Amino acid sequence: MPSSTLRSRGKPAPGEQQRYVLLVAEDNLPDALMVREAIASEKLPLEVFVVADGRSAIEFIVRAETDASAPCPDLLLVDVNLPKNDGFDVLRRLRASQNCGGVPAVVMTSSDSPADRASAAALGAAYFRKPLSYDEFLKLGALLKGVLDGISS
Amino acid sequence: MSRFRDAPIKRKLVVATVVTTGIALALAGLGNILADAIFFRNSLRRDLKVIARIMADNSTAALQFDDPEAATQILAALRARPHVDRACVYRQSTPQESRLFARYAVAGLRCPAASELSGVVSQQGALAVTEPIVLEGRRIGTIVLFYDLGELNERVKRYGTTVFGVLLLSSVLAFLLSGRLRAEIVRPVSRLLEATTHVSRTGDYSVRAEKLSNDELGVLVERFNEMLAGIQSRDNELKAAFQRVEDERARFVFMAESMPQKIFTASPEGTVEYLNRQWADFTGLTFEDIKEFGWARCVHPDDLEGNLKAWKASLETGEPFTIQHRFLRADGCYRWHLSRAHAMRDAAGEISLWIGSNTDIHEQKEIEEELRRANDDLQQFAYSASHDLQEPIRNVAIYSDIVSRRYGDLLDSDGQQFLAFLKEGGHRLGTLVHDLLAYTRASMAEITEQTVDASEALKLVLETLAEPVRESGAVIQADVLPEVNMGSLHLQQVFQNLIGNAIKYRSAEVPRIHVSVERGSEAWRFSVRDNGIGIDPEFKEKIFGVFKRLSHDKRYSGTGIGLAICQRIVERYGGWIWVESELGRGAVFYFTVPRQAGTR
Repeated sequence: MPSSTLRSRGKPAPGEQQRYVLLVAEDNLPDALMVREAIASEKLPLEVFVVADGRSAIEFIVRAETDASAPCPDLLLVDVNLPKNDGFDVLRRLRASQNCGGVPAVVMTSSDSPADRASAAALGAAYFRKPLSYDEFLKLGALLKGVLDGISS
Repeated sequence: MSRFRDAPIKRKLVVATVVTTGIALALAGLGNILADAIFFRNSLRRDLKVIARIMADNSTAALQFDDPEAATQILAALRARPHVDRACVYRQSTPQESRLFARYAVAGLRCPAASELSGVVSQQGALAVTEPIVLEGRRIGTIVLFYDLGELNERVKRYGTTVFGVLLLSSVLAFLLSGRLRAEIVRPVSRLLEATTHVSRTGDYSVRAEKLSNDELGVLVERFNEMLAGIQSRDNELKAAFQRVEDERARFVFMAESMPQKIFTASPEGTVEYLNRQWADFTGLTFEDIKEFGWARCVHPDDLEGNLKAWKASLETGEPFTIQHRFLRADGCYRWHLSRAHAMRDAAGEISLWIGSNTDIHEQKEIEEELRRANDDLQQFAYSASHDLQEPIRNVAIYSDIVSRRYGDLLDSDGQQFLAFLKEGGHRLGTLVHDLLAYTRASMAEITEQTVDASEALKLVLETLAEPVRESGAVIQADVLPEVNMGSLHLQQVFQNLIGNAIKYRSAEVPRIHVSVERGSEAWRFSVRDNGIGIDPEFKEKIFGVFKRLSHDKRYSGTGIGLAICQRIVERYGGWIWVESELGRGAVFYFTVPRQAGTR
């Protein structure tokens, strides 16, 4: 689906608190919706852009480097299993980027394999294992909040 | 002398007999003659002295009265002694002057002049005896008797002739007698000679020399025969032993030839000494081609280096040689073989021989490879499937959750229950798939050669388990644990499952868990002991199966994959895992980790 349809509605009104751009790379719509649920549950000031494959996420980063009007995301949330390029490809491209290399990132996956955890840690990304229950999934909100607090301070 | 030494014993005996007899007889005869001659001469001189004395006494008056006739008559009495051929009486007027006074002589003989008298001594062929004629202490004359020694010489001659005759006779007798004696000595010696010649020519130790007497030669023959008997029995033993060795060899060769495998023997230096027919049949090479290191050309080039290295290492250390490699068949295709060799050692412990075999394991290897590939495929499938299943399952689980939260009120009680089933099923499915994934991951994980400090791994596990430990109040103790050949995460997984189980399946008592280790000759043996509910021994194999749970008690949640994962991990590192327990008496889980890294 086109990423524009997923774009966060409601522009920040003047005087409202600073909003941050979150780039989400997730091909499973139910999971993408759960990410919104989690953000909403914590009322995080995030403008969410969702792309459904790794290549689109990489293009987003590349555009931020070449196009002055296109900003770096403030935060990256990637699924590992993505069509085209996978989540780690996206992370590696992000870390290699001149402008966006330092952007905080979270890896989100159904896997809890030690290898995946190690890869995420090596690329300086937090790790969120997609749980099987609604309540558990909402904890992603707390995790993102922590990362945001790190940015604003 | 040396000719005599080399002469046959027969001749030596003849010579010895004749010479010794001759010398003995000659010496005896000569001695006899000499003694006789000396004795006869002495007694003759004594006789003549007596006769001269008597004649001197009888002639005193004739001299006193100057009557030569009377003196002549007295002397004539000597006719009775035929060998006294002259008697002369001299009258001494002054000590310096004498003259012939009377005489008796055989025809043709004369008395020496008075002036020659002092020189009258025994002459060649005659013995002279001089006696003074004394009257009232005054010497008035001298009488001289001459004895003809012809008799004595005659006697000696006669004697010599007798001795010579006896000598000749006895020599002939000795020669004749020695013929018999010779036979007595020479015959047994000849028999001995015949026997030794026979033995040396034919090697037949069964002959015996005939014993003909009980003397030294008899003893010699007896000893010789004993010696032959000794040699014969030793010869027989030697032949028997040789036969046994031959039989053994024949048996070995027959056995080796009848084996389907290729069999070889090699010297301690690695030179091939024997190859069975299967070698030639398989390689199409001759023994000459293969011995030394000629077999190396049949080994696949990729396997050769490892093969030579292992073989040389075995030759140096004497350790058994075992290697799998591809082996070139005569038709040019390579077939997998298992080659093995063991060192045979002699009584002193030195390597005397290498015996080896090459077994064609090509089919087995292919099946193994196929099986491994199939297994890999299956694992890959299980992994991908369970991985890909996670997403839809999660969608079901989470969204049935959301529906029940937000729209639950719109449903009647049946609808709510069905939704609850949906939610529960989704959860259960999610957990199963998750565990299946963990299991396949444990099966597929690369086993790398690494070590881990087991104490460190345990510490990390206890941190992870902090929550259940705190909740249950479990007391966990551990020995000092060694460094082992295992991946850290794998060891952690094993500890986590075993200790997690020990806490989960606790009894009414406070859980007490003890982790210890024992150093075995080949492996470390870890144990995790608890005081939990224990396991019925009937199920102690079953609990390691995938999704096998003994309890469906809600208190003990889980899918039953933990021990299966532990087993996969431990076995992949070449170890074993098992449990010893009785229901209600706690359990001890054991697992081993080989001290030499190795995988299965």
